[in-house]
Amino acid sequence: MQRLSYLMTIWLAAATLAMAQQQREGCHVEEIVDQDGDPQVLMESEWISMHLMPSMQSMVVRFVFRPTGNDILDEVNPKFVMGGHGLLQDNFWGQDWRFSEFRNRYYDYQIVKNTPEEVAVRFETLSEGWMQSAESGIRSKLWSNIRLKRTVRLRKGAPYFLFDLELANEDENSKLPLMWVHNGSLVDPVQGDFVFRPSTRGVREMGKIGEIKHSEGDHYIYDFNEGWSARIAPVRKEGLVYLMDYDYVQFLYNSGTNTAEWVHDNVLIPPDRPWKGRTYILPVVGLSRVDFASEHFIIAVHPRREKGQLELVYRVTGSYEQVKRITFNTEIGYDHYLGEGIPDDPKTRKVDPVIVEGLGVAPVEGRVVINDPPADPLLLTIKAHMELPDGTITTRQFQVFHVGEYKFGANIRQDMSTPVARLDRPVQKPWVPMPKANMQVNRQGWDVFALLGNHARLLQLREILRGMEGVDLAEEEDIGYTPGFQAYDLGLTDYPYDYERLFNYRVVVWHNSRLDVGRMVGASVLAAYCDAGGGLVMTGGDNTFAWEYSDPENPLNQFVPISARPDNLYRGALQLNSPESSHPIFKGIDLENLPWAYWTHDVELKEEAGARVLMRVGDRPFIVESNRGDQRTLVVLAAPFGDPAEFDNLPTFWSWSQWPALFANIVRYAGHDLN
Amino acid sequence: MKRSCRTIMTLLTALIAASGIAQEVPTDWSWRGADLAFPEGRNAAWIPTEMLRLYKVQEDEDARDEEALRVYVDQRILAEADIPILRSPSLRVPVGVYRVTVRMKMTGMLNAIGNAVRFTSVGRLRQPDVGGHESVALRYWEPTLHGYHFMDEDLYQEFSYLHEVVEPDYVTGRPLRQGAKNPFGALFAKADMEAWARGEGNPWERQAAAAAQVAPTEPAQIEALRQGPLTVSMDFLQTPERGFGRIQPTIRHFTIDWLKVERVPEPEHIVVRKVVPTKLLIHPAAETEFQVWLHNRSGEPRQGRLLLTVRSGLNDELVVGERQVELGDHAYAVESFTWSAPDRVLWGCHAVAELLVDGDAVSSAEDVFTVHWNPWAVMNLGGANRWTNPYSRLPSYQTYMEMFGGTPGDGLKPWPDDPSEPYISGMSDFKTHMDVQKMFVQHNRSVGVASYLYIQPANGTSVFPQLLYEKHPEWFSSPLTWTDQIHDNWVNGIANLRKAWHAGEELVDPPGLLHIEAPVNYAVPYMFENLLDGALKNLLHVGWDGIRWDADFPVRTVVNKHIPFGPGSPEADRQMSAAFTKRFKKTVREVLPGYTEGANIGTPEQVWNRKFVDDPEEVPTDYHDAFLADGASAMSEDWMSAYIFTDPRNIIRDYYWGARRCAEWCRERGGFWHSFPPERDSTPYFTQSMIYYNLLIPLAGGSYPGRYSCTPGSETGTAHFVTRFSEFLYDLELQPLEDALDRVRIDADQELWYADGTRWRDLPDGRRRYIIPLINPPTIERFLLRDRFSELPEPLREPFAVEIDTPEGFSGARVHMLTAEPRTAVVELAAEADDELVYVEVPDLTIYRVLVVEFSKEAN
Repeated sequence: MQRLSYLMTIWLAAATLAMAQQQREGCHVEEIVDQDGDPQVLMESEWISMHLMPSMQSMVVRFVFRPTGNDILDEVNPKFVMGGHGLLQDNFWGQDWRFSEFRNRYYDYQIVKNTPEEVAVRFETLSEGWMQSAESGIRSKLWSNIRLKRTVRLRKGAPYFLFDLELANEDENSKLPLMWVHNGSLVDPVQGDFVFRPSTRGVREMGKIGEIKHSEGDHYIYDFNEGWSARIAPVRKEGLVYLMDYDYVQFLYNSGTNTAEWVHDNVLIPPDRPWKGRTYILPVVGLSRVDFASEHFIIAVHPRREKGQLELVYRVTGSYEQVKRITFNTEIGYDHYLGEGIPDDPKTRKVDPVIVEGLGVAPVEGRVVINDPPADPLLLTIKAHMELPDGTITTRQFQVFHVGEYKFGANIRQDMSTPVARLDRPVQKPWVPMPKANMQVNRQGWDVFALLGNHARLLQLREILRGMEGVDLAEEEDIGYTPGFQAYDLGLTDYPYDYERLFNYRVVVWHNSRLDVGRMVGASVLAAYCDAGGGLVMTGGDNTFAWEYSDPENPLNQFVPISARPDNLYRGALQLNSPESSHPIFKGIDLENLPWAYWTHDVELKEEAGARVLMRVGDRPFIVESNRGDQRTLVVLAAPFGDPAEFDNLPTFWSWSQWPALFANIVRYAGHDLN
Repeated sequence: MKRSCRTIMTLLTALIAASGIAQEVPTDWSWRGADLAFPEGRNAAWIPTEMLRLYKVQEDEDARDEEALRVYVDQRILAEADIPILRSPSLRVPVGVYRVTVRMKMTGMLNAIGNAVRFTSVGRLRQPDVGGHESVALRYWEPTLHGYHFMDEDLYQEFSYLHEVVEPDYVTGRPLRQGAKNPFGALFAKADMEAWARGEGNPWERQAAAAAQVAPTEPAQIEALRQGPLTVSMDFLQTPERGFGRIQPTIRHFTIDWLKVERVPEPEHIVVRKVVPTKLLIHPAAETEFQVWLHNRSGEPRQGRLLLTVRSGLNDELVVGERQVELGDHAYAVESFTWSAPDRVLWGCHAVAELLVDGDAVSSAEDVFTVHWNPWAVMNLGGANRWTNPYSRLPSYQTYMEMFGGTPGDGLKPWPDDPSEPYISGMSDFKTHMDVQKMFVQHNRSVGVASYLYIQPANGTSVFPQLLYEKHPEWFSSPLTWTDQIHDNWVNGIANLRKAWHAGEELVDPPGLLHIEAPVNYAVPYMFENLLDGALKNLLHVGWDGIRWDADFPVRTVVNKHIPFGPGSPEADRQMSAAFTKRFKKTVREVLPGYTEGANIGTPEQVWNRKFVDDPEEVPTDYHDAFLADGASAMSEDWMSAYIFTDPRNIIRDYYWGARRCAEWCRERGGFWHSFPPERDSTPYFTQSMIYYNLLIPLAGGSYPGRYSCTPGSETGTAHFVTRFSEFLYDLELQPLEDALDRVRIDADQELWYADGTRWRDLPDGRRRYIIPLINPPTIERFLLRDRFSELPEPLREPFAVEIDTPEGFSGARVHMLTAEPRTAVVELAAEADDELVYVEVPDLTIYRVLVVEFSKEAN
């Protein structure tokens, strides 16, 4: 009995309070102190009860879907921050999550709505923008001074909650953070959870009954084709579905079955235009998997074969938009793959409609039986015609790949890499700003922006550019440093996304970097600049032209005269030769005793670009020019690698006395200062 | 309400002092609890105003004067600050030992850790004698009071401690063994290092020498030092809310009846205050020194025989020396004994100093140390204790020091181009210098601590990947995640550091040193040769005992930039990698025969995860086999996540089982195994989860590379126990006892864990040894889950029986109990044994004890 005393009194009081709250109708918000003494914000509706903790970046540290009474954060205790659990954690992809500036940061908050119909709390913080880890000493201008405004909202009668994320720019130039949303929870602490993600290979799932931590499977989903991610405990038939804006997702990620995460993409934030994103978090009961989720419904499709027939069972629950009735029109695709060496012969067959109505939290079921069905695998293309409460009809199509009895057990051919069928993937359409009409590239001044991938210092690019008359190349204003590719816990320090700023540069120097380091929106902005006659000088290295961009086509491609080819660097000393000596870039250059390169790019020129080789190394191009109107792109395939001692100390082009003048000429020529 | 002052002796003392009459010095003082908080009806000054509401004077028929002080706990206050319970008036008393006693009762949870209550006197904090623990919470080194110390709620008990008022060290000559020193982050001024090079001592020695005080010789000065202050305080300590030390209050209030201080009469003989092995770890046949600290405060000169022995194993004893000692009254002395250890491994030992009078030991002190050639076999990073001896504190038992991230560039740059220049650690971006490392390692060797250099062989750090990549991009599988801006910061940072160091200017931390770990592929021939050359130079220059690698030497057959590397297949890769580890050790040992190493290579998951028990998968172990074969130690960093619910090791019983399997798996290959603290937090928290998190590892046969928590019921703590009994935990000959649950049976009122940890071996003389750890299991199934109060398992207060089947061919047995409860000791238990059964009774058990059964072929 000694253990009871006052502690039991406290527990009983808490339980009584919880029961009282359980009986409360509508929504409720309250500032409370939890049993550890931590201040928290309690938000409740008839469906959901959750605690958000301002001192831990306002993440959700307790979440109960009241119909099941299951706290999906209890066992995994988000207060152990290195465990990575808790819902709605903020991160930047350029910071190691463990050492992120948001870990344990206190967010200011305000209860912005407190009515029985709706409660909302807005949490805020201002980013510092550290690279790699908090207080690292280097910031990215692209993700510093962004005000994160997180509004969490519950509505009466709504079995979901809304998470509005607004990113507002408090600087002069545009931002582009790789905003990373991180959620860790555990629905079934006994039998474990599964995760489901949409992809062009079909829904990718991970999990194993009986394992609460399962790591086998795809952690990264780059070929996602819808904006959702689900965590379902199949034994409990309970879980969460996250709905996010497809147009602003870069990839979906799950750390095994521990987390559900995604990184936003192309989130461009000019000073006067905050980015607004919305995530719906929908608790789900009654489903053991998820094949598709949208604002109108969540569905699990269960094909079953029995006695020579195929039965399609659709289990459907509601989402956050009301629907009166849904008619599913299904087309079965088959024979996409008949075996190695046999030509594909895909066929389709229509199936009777399935109608479901009365959608709510509990799933409703519809089914259709198909006689004499085709053999697995099957690609189901399903059109959902939804009748909305106002009588209007809206249609949404999705696809389900059914492996069934297919011998390779997955959407894969005998080579164990090629999919049997690829599901549709809509083109993402993020907002891309357009330049004002008749904007002109400033060719009066001589400002250069240098996007410097790694190893630029060997080419002395900064020194050469600063040596050009009129060029400042200020460290804090005119350079964006990058590894040359998008990297976890590092990134791009600056990029001229604003047309006013970009068009003031006469030339952009692009060193040893993939064309997507500024993301597609960055490539689009730069393409518009080139389209207006902006000069572009590209230099070589291990990232240069080493990746294909076809999904979607990178808008910058049209200004680049060279086709991408993976692994295009070759070792072997080759001498520079065949300069087109009358070309302006060779003006004043002593072309006697041409130097050597130890590593060279073996690339192809695009015929359609009208590329012209101005100098070669061995028989490979070294300097290439292409023009589009009066726009000039100059490519210097200069990879400054190799140990002179291993090449008989042959003189290198980057230590060549004429190199600084030649490169300066190239920049001046691209900027129409040398004709 | 009675509020009259009851401090009779205090008043009396004051009157005597005021009258100037030279009277006998008082020897005891007493105060009512109520008067301490409300003297003469006023609020005591020590009570913070905002806490006044927590103090009440209660009528209490069980109190001596039917009135007592009640102090309430307020959880919100305790989350932010300590709550004082009582403060005594300040006394000034002669040197000597005093017993402080309080009579009090509590309301709250019994048998829980919960609130920690500090009951102490100034100068009595229990931090170790040595440095190295400054960064951790000292409260874990204190014998704090907790709910489990109370027999019942609302029942008065008396709690006492002994406190010595003593002259300063420069009078008493207190011998100290410095603890391990780690050069991590240390760089001294150039002038200091030049002084060291000239043989003028290292900076901390020179600083200590400059600050040293000389014992006075004037009688008045000597007399003045023979008195000192004595105050008593009691506080509810702040309860940590976050992290692994998180605990919730379990006490609602304390009720204080009275507080008493009494002088303890000095014994009429010389007192052995302490014995200090000057080296904690020595090699067999090495020479070492023991210092024995004595005093005589009996009022007249005394003499006796001082005997120093070394006890090892269960009952082996070696005499170090014996001599006559004489001490005048009020004298202190340090007697030094030099000892050459036998040329064999003794494992953990007790050094015992006894003062004999007429052949009887009238006073003694003891401490533990180790005789072993391999630091990995006895790896220990120290830990907390709850030692109550008034004469001494326990030292740190850390025998292993690792300098993390000490090299310029790890796998690509284990040795700087110019060792005379300072540089910046590639792994951890701190400032350092090779000679600073040498200085620290020399110190560690002088106190018997092994020093290891950390190298991450699988990656290059700092600017070196960039510089090498630019010469040989084909040696890397992918472009570096690095920028020119970061590169410049490193280059400029190193240059500026050197400039400032040479100029004697302040050494500031360079900004913007971002981190890179670029993978190294040992299929490239340069890589291994470079590593071997650089690491060997480092070992020779600094004098490290060995290296703790942060990975294996990865070999990957690849084609980088159209150039092939590697032997051609995953199997050949593994074999090449294994050959490298053999070659490294062989080459180094040709010049450094004592070289040993550890590596963060863990064990396969199949070893520790129960899910593979029924479906074991064969995994290649070429590297482990080669690496572990000669007493190396595999580290499992992934054990740091066992605190997470989703980790299979979060289930404590499975954690213990998995640890035993890992230790056994490494032992089968000839080496050792060590785990990892939760999220690298090596604080020895006094919470149930963390106590078992670190205790279960050595009981399973592994080492815990963090600080051991002290267990309830123990004063000396787990680090002390592990030091003394390493032989019974880490012996490579031990192997698991199959069917231990059937062969060993325990008749106790509650379940004990013992079968998973039971091991055996045959001894050279034909006897067979069983090691049976007895563990009172935690009250929780999983670490940190619903363990808010650290409610402890009920202690077994009555004797309980243990039956062990006698193995075939044996007919007698002796049974010893290795215990840390209350202090580290070997206790022989009366055993009944025949050729079928051994029967023994264990007197009691709080958390853990270990039985050692040695079967013989002769009947008892």
